[in-house]
Amino acid sequence: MNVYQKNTILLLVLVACFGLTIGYGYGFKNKIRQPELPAKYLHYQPMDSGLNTPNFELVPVLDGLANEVVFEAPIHVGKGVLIHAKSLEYSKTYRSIYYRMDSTGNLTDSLVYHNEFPSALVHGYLMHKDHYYSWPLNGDTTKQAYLPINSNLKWSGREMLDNFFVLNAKAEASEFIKYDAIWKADDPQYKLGIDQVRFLIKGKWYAFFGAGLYAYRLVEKDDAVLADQLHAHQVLGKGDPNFELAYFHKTSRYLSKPTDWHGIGFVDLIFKHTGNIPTDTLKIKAEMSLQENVHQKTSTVNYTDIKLYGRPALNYSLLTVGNRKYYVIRNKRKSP
Amino acid sequence: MKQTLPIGRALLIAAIAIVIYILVIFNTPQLDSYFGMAMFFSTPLVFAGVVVWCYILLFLERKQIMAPHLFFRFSIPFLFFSLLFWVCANVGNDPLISAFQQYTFAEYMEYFLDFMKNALLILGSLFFVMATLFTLLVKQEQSIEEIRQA
Repeated sequence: MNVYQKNTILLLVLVACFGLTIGYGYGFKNKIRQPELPAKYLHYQPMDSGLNTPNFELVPVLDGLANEVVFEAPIHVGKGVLIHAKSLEYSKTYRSIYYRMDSTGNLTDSLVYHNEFPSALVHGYLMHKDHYYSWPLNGDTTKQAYLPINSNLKWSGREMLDNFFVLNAKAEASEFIKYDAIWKADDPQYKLGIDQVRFLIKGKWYAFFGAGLYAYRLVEKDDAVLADQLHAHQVLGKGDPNFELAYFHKTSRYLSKPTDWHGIGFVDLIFKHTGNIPTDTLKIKAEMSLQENVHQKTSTVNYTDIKLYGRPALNYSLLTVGNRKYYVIRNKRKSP
Repeated sequence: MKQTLPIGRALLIAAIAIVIYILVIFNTPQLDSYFGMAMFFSTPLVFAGVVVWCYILLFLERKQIMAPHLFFRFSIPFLFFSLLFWVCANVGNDPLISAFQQYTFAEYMEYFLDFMKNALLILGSLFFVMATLFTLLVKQEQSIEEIRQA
């Protein structure tokens, strides 16, 4: 065999080595070894597909992706719910949008702010520096002023405090504003440290002024904001009682973490009824991730993106995915 | 017949190869800046590597391991080093083609061909220049023993 024949064989061997690495990589390192998806999970539906059971329906209501906004947790106002959304990025057209849902879970109205914000939402009122809106409660978009009680500071000391406590006891809600947030630094009121307290009395907000009142502020836990009822992760089937993860099917491995997998979670969303109506199950599937714990031989499924909101006083539950989409889960039988 | 390569010629080959190498890395858009900088700063190493490679090639041809022909002088080192880089890039914690991504065969081959395209641009041009210049500049000397034996 001469040197040319030897080199030709060497070339072919090199090409074959490429073939072998590709064959090995594609054949053994590319596919995930897991059982075929069992047939009983084939009829699980994505959330967008308009899921229905005899008693329940899951309906998409808000799509933040389309509007480039991200949603916050729903706020229980009156008989319905208020959902606040804001632009993803700060820019010239920064928007803050409030969506109002009625007691049946239908979107009824929205209020759009451009580059302007309410400072707070108190008891269903959108509070601004000099005015407020009762829009979350009744859809009224007229500016309403805080009715001043003692803007001339006619009382001081003990008398002022006595009146303050009388109003405080009478008010359904109150909001305390520190002096540096209302007065300019060269105002005499600023130098005297005159705080403002807003009292809600019989559907009207009143403004009361007095030095040092901010110290009486009670930090109340705001229970209007609905809390996420899910635990964000669970060992297969052992976690949230009405959000049971039935199965997880891997689709690909995380690029950076060899123990973490992307995949589809198959979830039984369970609704227990009172009376003679049987338990209802919505069968949904959604993207989730799986974390394998090699030492304990367990796997944890993470669905941090998915949040379920509801409370007994509401006729429906709300489901959000990644704060970018909202779905309402309604009981079709319950008439509002 | 004996091949020799004076050091001056080896340095000339390396100098021309380096010029081509720099032209190629500055015109390869796929290389992100970090990798591009690393390749740029390894220029002296490449220069030394080319000189060493010329003498390795000379040695291999004298020992009748490599065939003294442009085609083999180019294709064997090119494929060998491409394979080496391909294997190195696909082992370790951050492989070029990540495991368990369930790519289709077409997608998988796309990643491979993408790699080969870059390899052909950088390694291919380097080895092609080296092989061509080596073939042009290597000196053929007839030894006196061979003539006597003939």
